[in-house]
Amino acid sequence: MFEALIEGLGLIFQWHVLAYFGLGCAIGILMGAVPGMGGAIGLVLLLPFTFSMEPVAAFALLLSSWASTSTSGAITSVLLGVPSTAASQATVLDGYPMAKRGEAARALGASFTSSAIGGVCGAAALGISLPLILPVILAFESPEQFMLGLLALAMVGSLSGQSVVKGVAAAMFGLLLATIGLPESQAIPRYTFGTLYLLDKLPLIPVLLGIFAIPEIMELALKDVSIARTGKTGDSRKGLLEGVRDAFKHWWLVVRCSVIGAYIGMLPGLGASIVGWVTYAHAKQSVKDNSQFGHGDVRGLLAPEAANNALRGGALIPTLTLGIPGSVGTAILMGALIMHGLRPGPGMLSAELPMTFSFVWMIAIASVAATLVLLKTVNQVAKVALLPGHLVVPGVLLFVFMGAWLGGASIGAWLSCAAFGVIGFFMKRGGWPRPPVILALVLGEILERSFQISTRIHEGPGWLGRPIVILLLLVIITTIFLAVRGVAREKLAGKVPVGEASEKNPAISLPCSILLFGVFAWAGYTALEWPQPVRQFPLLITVSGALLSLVVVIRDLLHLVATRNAAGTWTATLQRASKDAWLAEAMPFFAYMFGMIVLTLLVGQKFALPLFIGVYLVRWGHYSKRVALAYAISAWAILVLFYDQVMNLLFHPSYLALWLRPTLPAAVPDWLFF
Amino acid sequence: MTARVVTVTDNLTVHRLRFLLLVLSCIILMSCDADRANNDNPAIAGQHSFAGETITVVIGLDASAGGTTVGRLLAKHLELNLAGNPTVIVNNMPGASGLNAHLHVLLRAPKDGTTVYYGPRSSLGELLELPGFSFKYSQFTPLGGVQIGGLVVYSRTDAVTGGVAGPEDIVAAEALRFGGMPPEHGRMIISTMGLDLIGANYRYIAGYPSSGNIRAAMISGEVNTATDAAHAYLNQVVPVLVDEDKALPIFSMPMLDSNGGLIQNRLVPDVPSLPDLYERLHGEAPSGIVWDSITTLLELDQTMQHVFLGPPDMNPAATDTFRAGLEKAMASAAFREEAQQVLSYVPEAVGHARQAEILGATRRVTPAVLEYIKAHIEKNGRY
Repeated sequence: MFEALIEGLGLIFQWHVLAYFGLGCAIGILMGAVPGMGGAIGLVLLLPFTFSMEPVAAFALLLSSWASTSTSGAITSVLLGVPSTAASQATVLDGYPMAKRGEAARALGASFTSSAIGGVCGAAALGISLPLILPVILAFESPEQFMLGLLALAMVGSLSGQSVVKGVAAAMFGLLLATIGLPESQAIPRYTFGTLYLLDKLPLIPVLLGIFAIPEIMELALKDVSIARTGKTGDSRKGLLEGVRDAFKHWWLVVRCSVIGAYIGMLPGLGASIVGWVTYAHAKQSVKDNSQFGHGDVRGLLAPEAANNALRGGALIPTLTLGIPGSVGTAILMGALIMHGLRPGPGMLSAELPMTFSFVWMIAIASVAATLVLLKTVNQVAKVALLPGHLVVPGVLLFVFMGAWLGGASIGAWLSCAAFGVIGFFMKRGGWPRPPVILALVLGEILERSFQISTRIHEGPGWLGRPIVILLLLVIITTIFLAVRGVAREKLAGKVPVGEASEKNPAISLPCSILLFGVFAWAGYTALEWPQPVRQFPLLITVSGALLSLVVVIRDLLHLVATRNAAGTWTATLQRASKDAWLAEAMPFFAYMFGMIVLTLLVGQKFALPLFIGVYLVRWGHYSKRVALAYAISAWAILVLFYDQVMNLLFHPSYLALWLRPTLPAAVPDWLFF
Repeated sequence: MTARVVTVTDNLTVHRLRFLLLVLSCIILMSCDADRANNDNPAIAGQHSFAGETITVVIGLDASAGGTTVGRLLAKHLELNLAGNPTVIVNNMPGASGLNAHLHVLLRAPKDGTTVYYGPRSSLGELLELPGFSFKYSQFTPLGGVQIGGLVVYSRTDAVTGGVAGPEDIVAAEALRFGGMPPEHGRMIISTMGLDLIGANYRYIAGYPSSGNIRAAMISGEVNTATDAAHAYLNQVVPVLVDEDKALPIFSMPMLDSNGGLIQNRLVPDVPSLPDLYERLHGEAPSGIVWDSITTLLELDQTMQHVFLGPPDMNPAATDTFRAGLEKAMASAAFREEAQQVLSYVPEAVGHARQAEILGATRRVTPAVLEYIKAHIEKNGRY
């Protein structure tokens, strides 16, 4: 085995392989840093180029790109509070508060270094346990997957906010969103309102970008502040070194989270979604003083970032050895394996062992290489945190909306992105945690599927008696107990909450909880007419969701009355609540956003987005027309050159395009405009 | 003061109304012109060339799907073989299980052949009027089809007490656990009908979202019987399960030749085809409603899994040129060689005439077969 390990490393050290490796890293870094892209899209773009390459070079290109995306994904999580994927949500919890208080460079330095260590440790853990690990993977059947998903939900529900009830109610809302579309059990559409867009489930990326990115961007626009609210980031070089030191100072935490990440990554389907939360919870529960978690504690950043990189290696194992791809990315990699004559299966651990080890090496080395490149750029990247908010907003909105568009090339993606932007804004202002919604949306389908498959196979609830299921159930109970105790202790100690879901505005939270109760009640009533396998999960969600939201309604009412008593009158209370939530300023922003969507229907994205940017900068940002024009032209160039010519995206067929395209002279390429 | 405010307000209202009217007029004009553009049908007869044009192939699948790889490969070879050597680009539109892509080409594509659909078809969805099927395949212009490959039903060797030594042993199983996708999925319907035909007892475990998930459940032993496309079976089931003596094939689904006759799946010549296995078990050729339903589904759903479709009333000259280019591309040695390398099998071409015949198969389904298919779906969907 040691020989195979060395032979595997030797396969990488060939000039042409190293060249492809470098190219893959560069592309991966770019893909990871652009919201909505992620590793799978990078693989899709690169795959056709590998058709005629020899296997080692092809996988050097693919794997280095895939592994690098998780390292650079931290950039948007830290700087903008926008998780580039569902896996990097936990990074936002402590990374973004650090950037807000002017420690962007430190946060990025810590996160990149932790990623590198994670990549190497994860690969090492795999290398050591590779031949022994298959029985463990196979022990996780549908019942265990269900409980593991439930554990992740319990963790996110209880860890990402100041109220466990609100957290779990938000998770229920996410689960309800996951039931939209055609279920796996029968072709009966649920909550689609007759639209085609919702028939195939609510896509994750538009919701993720809407619920996280838009409220954060809005805050920059409404308050006209830079990301670093202090207006300074300090000495970024010093901050960077401090971040690197943080990673080494907490090396044992980083190593533990890497190993956890690598092993959880092996569980097909679930790994990538839950690993950040599991390691975040592990970090919070295992350190002595966890009072700063969620408020910008660097350990809350180190844990998920180490695990995110380690899971890449883990995810590769079931793909290579069992032919089970757990995600879109690994499915593409498996296709590439077959394309290059490698058949996934036990043979990858015998005849092809050096090749398998070379893949593990590639992931480890790519993590380190991406980190070295990114550390070089931190000084420049961290400066984004100092840019005036109005200059950041249009550019980020361009990438957010185009990121949402990438998944399905449908105007429905933009509408859901904008709608969840509004929902995310009110959740943030009302002190509702947003991460549970996203994780539940990701896990909902897996939970429903694994619950129903378990029940079908065991012809009843017999699966609840399986040993791993019982063990996981105990962990869930402990997690919830610890979380409730933690929140109660913080309240007793009179600590002022900061971070996600820390805002206390009962006048905003109350309408949210009433609306949520109404949604659950309506959804439950609607579900009654469906056959049992179709209605079972929605009913379970809506009944428990309605009860939880009712509890929140009562609590919000009591808070509101208390606030009114303090303020003196209802008018004063509501005025204060509206002012605190920036409601009056938010409405024109929403109008701008929806106006841009309507304009897109008429004239298409290549006109609407640059126009939106130009108008925003002049009217809202009060910049000169020259600056606005330059910005708008740059945005148009990105749309045309990157999204059209490189990504080959199908843009919205606007009325203007249908009308003008046939009349364009042949010499003028229509892709410049439509 | 009041009068001045009223005047300003009035002026604003008038301006707003004028602006609104202007916008509305623009929309109406654009819509009319768009419709006119859509209905333009120059119908240039004779030679047609796509020189200097860009053809967009809209694929109704996710960019990561295996079918997209086939589509991209075909796009590359279309570029080389279409008259005029146009640029051919691929756009993925996976929404609503590909229905969005169908509707995009049906309703919005120009008639000049520069935007076409490629991807799976679901004539079964049309037949069963599944949600979202607001169109008929006969509305499209058929440009050619692609035969991806047939099915193989396989079982774990521990599915029967005492082990499964050969396909015949499977009928002795008390209750196989068949890992399946939603019960309306064509591949699942025809495969479980095959099990019904040979007399195997099984419980349908619905809920797996993809073949990959079912393979994983087969490996862990959560389910013990499944179906897969022949090429996936060879590449992903054989090395992990069959070579390790943990599974063996039960039967392969026969395929239809260009005349509609039954033939053995060429990718798995050693796996007995369903009618052969039936004959081995029962000493006679299969017949009856189950077999009629299977043969109906073979044409309706399991032949020509992927299609190229043009918009309705596509320019006839462009249509002919596209069809000729596609046939040439798929017959070319370069395509066949690259397909073998990239896909590990060579997709077979289905001519446009046969394609139109297959797309019209929904009209030939007898009421008895339709009822049987619906009852079979209901049976598999029971919870």
